[in-house]
Amino acid sequence: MTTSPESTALLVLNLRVNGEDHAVLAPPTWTLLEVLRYKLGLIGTKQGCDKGDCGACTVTMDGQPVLSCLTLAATAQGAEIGTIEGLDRRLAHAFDATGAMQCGFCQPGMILSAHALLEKTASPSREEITAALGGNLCRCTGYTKIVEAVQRVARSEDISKGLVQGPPAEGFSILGARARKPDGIGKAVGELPYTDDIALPRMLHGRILRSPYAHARILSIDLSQALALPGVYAAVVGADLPKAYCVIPWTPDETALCTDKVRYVGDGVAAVAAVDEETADAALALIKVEYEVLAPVLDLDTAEKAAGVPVHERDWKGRPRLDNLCKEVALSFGEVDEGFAAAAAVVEGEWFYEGSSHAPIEPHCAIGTWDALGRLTLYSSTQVPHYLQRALSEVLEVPLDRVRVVRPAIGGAFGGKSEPFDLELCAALLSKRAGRPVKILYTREEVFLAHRGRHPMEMKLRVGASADGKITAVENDLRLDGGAYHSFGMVTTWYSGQLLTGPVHLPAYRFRSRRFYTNKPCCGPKRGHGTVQPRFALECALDELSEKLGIDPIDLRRRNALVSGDETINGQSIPSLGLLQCLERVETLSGWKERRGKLPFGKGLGVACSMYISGTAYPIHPTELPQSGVMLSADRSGIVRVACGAADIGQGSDAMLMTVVSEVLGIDPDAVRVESQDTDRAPVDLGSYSSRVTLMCGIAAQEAAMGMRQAMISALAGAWQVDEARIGVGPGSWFDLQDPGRHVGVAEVLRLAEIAAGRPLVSAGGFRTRKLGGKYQGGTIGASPAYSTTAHVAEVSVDPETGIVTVDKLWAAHDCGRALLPTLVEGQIEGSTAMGLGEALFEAHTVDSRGLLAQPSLLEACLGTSVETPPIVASIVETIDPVGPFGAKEAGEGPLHSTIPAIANAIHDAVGVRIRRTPFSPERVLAALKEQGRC
Amino acid sequence: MLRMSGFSFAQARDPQHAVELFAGSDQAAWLAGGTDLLPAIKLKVQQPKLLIGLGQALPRTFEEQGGELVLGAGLRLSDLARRGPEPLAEAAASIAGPQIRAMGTLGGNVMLDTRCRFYNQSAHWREALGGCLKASGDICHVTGAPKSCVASQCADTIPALLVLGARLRLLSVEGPRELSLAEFLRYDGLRPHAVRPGELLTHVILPQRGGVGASAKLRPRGSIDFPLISMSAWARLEGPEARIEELRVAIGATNPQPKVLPGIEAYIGQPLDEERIQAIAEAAWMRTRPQGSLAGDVAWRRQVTRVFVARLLRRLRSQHQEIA
Repeated sequence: MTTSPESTALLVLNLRVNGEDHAVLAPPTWTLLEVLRYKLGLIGTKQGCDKGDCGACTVTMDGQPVLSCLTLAATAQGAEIGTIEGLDRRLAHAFDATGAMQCGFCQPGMILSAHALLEKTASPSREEITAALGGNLCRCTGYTKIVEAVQRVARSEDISKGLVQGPPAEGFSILGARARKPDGIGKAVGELPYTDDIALPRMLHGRILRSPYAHARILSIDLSQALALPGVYAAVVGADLPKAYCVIPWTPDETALCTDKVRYVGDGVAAVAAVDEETADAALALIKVEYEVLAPVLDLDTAEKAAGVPVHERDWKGRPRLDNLCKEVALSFGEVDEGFAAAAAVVEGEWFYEGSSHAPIEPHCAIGTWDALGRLTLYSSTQVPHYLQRALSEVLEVPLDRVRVVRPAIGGAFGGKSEPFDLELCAALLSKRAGRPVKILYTREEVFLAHRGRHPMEMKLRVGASADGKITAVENDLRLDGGAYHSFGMVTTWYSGQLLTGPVHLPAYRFRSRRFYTNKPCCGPKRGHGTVQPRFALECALDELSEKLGIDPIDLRRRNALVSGDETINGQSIPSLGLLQCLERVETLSGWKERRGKLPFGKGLGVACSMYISGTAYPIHPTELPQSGVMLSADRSGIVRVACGAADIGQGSDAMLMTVVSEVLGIDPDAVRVESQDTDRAPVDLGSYSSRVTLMCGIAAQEAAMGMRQAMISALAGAWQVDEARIGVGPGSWFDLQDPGRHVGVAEVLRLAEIAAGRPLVSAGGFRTRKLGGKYQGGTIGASPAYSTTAHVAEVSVDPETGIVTVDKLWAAHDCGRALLPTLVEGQIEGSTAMGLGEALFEAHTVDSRGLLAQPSLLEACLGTSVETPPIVASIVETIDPVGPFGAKEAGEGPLHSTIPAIANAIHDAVGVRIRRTPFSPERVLAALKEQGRC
Repeated sequence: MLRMSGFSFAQARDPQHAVELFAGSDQAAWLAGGTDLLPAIKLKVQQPKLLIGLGQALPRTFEEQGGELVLGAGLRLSDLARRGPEPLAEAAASIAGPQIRAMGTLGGNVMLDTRCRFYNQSAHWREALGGCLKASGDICHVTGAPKSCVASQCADTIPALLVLGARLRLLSVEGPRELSLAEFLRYDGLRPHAVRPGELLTHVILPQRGGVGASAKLRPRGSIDFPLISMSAWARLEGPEARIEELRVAIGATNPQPKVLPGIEAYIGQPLDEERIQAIAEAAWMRTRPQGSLAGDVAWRRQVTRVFVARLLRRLRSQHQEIA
C-alpha cells in the first residue's frame, strides 16, 4: 500500500548510464531495472523472474555484473552503469553469428556477464566461461553455442557481419549455409521490442486476482472498494466474459475469469486496471471474494475414484459430469496377445513421468487497445496469433475482422504460449472498459500457474521381443494428470498412444490412455507434446530388453528400425527416416563400441532414440483452408516482402522464410523482409506448434516464390528476347545460361517483371492439408506429412555415495531431412537436449497436499545453468524428405525426447540401477542403489 | 512483475550516521547488497518503511590488526572469494551466481534471514497456505507445531566463519560491541541473530592461525542455488601423519543455527587418518538432523552430510600433505 506521504514522495535520481548523465524522477521503491526500462527506455535490459533468479536484467555497475532487479535505483547513483545499448557490439555479433541466441531474451544480460568476464580474463577457459555465465539462465540454446561465441570473441576472431556466413549446400545458392537470423542482431543489442518493451500512450496496468483455494465455489465477489481506490480505472469478474473457450474448438471448458468455481490455486477470479502495477496490486487486496471450499482432487487415484465433487460438474455441452475423466482413448493394432505369447523376453513395469513447465525466460505479457473505430488490437507474446484472434473474437463477441493480433518478439515459448490465456482476454476487456490501453504482465509465479506444461503421466508398459531382439508386441496403459482444464487435452491423450509406433517398429501394439481433470494448474503441450513421457518408458524398456537378451542396445534398435517409405502399425506413412544413420552417428561419435561396458563403476553410457511429427495433417480447427499462407510482394527498392503469420518464437521461422525465398529468387537474403507479426498484414498460419512451421510455411513460401520466379523469368526472357530456358537464377544476379557475361541484378529483374505485368509483383503460396493416416477413428491424429528422428547417447557419472548424477557429455544425431539453416538446426538440437536434461535431472512442477505449487519461481524450478549443462554434440543427419520444402523436416521438438531415456539408461550402465521415475533426483538414485545393495 | 511499495529511502554517509538514521525511524531495514532484502520486500514477507542505504558507508577493510584479520562488513562476496582466507574464500565462491556475489556483502550474508519453502513465497502463495509462524500465521508447516520456527540459516559464509572462530563488531547509537559469531547465532527461525534493534554489523574479525581449510556445499545445480547443506572445516595438522592439533567442522542450512560439531576435541593429538575421518563423519551424521524447511529429502541430506564431512576432511589432509 502506498499510503504514507513519506513513501510516495518521488526522488530525483542522478544516474550515469552508458556514459550519459540522467536526472530521473522515480519512486524510492523502484529498482534500477524499472528505471532503465520504464523511465530511460533502455529496453535491452530484460525482466524474467521478478527477484534475481534468472540474470536477464544483468547490467554492469563500475564494471561488475549486477542484477538490476535487485538494485534499488537510488543506490545506483554515483556508479557507472552499463547496459547493452552502451556496449560495443563485438559480443552481440558473435552471439548472433554463432547461433548463440534463439529467442534473444536472455542475451543482453548474458552478453553483459560475458563482457565483464572478458574485461578481467582475456582468454578464459570453458570452465571460467560457464562459471561467469552461471547466473544467467538461457532456456533456448543449451549454452553450447554461447560458450563458443564467447571463445570467438576471446580469440579476437573476425566475425563477418553479413547474413550469410559460409558456403551453401552443394547445388544451392544459400540453403545449407551458416547464416544469421534477420532478427538476430536487433535482439542481441536490445533493439527489437518484446511485448513488455512496448508502452502505449495513456497505458494502464492490469493485474489478476487469483484463487487461494484449489477447489471452491465462488459465492460472491465485491469489487466496490477496489473500484473506489484512486488510480483504478476498471475491474471485471468472470460474469463479464462468461463465454467458455478452449484452443480445441469442441471442448470449451474455461472462461477468461472463473464464473462459478475455482479449480486450482491461482485460477483467475477478477481483474483490475490501474494507473500502475502497484495500485493494481493494492486494488486486488480490496476485492472481497466469498468461497465455499470443496475437497480438492490432487492426484490420479483420487481423480479416478471420483468420490467427491468433480473438478468439472458439467461437460462442454452442459451435461452433468459425474467423474473426472476428461478423455479416454483405446486402440489396438496387430496381434498383441500372440506377440507376447511368441516373445522370448518380456519387460513389464510402471514408469512415471513428473510434470514440468516450459519456463520461457520472457513472462507472458499482453496489451489490449481499442481504436476510435472500435477495433481491438492485442499485442501478445503468443505462439498462435490466429487462434488468439479467434478466441478474442468469440469470447469478446467482436467480429473477427475487428480483432488484430500483433506478436512482438517472443522471449521463448516451447508450447507454453500456444493457446489463449486469461491475461489476453482480460487486457482486451479492461482496455475496452477503461477506454485506454491496458498491459498485463505475468509475474513469474503466474507463468508457472498458467503452466500448460508437460503432463505428469503414469505408464504401465509391457514390451516383448524374440530371442534375436525383434519386438513382438507392446502394450501401454497410461493415465495423464491433466490439471484443471482441457487445453489440448484430447490431442495429448491421442498423442501419448499414437506417436509411439516409430522409429522402432512395433508389429503389434495396444494402448489405453486416459486423461483426468485434477485441481492443479492446467497441463498442455510442451516441446514433444504427449510423447516424451511414453517414449521415456519405451526406450528404458528397450534397454532392459537388450540386457535380458544380451544384445547391444544400439543393435537392438537397429534390428527394429523403420526406414524411409515404411508405414507404422497404426497407419502412419513415413516418407523418410534416418534412424540407422542417427544411431551410427552417435555410436561413432561417443566411442560406444570401444567404451561401452568398459567404463569403471560410476561411469556409464546410455542410448535412446525417438521420432516426431512435422505438423499434423489434421489441424486443431478442421478446415479446408490452407494451414499456412505466404504472400510475396516486391517493391521498387529491390526488396521482396514475405508476409506469413507464422510466429517466430526464437526458433528462427523468419530466417527460414527468408532463406527459402532467397534461394528460389536468387536474391540476397538481406533484400528479403519477413513480415510475420501482424494478423492484419500477414496471411494466416496456424501457429508455431506441433513442429509444423518449417514444413508447412516452408512449402507455402516455396510455392509463392516459385510463382514470383516464373513471372521474373518470363519478364527477363522477354526483355532479352531469349528462350525462358536460358535464364539462370542467382545468387545475387540473374544471367543468360548461354552467355554468362550477360547478367543483371535481381532488383532490375523485379523492375522488368513489374513493367511486364503492369502492376506490382505479387505471388501467393499455401500449404494445403492432405488427408493422411489410418482409416479408423483417431487414425488422422498424429498423421504427419513427414517425421523426424533422433538418437542420443549420454555419458554420465553417478556418485554412489550421494546419488548425484552428473551428465558429462551428450551426443545427439537428428534427421531433419535437410538442414536449411544448419546453425539453427544445431541450436534446436542442443536446446532440446538441454531441456531434456533438465527434465531428466532437475525439473518438476508439482503441488502439495493443499494444491500449492512447490516450484513457483525460477529458483525452485531449477532450470539448468551453464555450469552443469555439459557440452552437447549436435550432429545433423539429412535424408532429404520427399515432402518437406527442399527435403526439410522438423528439428525443434524431436531432439528432446530421447535425451531422457538415454540418461536413464546411462545411469543403469554406470551403477546398475533402473530409475523409472523422473526427475532422476539424487534421493531417488541413492534409494535405488541402497535397495539393490550397491552402496 | 513484482513491484515494491511502501518504503522511503535514506542514504547513510557512514556507520555512525546509519545507526542514527535507524534510531530515528520506525520499521527501518539495512540495505547493503540488497540481494536478500529486495526479494523479501517483493514477496511482501518483509515490509519495512525505511531502507537505509549502506552502500559506501560500510567499511570494506581487509586488514591485519594485532594478529587478527579485520574484515569490513561491506566487503563484496566476490572480494572474499578472491582473497579471503580458507575456508571462507571457497564458501563465498559457492554463493549464488556471479552477479549476486558482486553485489552481496559479507555483512549481508552473515545477517541473511533464515529461509523456508513455506516462507520465501509470494503474498498470494502464503495466503493460500494460511500463513506460517514466520509470516502472519500461527503454525510451523515444517514441524506441524505452533511453537518454534525452524527456517534454515542458509548463509554459506557462516560455517566458514564459525570454524575460523569469528567475532562480530556491531555498532549502535550506544556504541560498538563485540561478540563471537557462535554466541550471535540463535536456534530461532524468527530471530536467528542476537542483534539488538538498530544495531549494525560493521566488522567481522578473524583470529589468524594459519592451518588448512575447505568448504563444501550441497545444492541442486552448479550455480545460483542456496545450499541444502553447507559446511566448512578448518584444521591445524602436524607432521607426515597429519596429527590433529586443532580441528573444527561446522554445518549449516540444516536448521536456524549453524554450529561447530562438538566432540572433535577428543581427536586432538591423533592422526587425521581414514579411521578418524569416518568416525568424525559418523558423529556429524549422528548430530545432524536437517529440518524439512528446505527442499530435498531430509534423510538424504543427512546422509550426504556424512559423505561430505568425510570428503572435506580428506581434502584437509591432502592440503596439509601438499604444503608439507
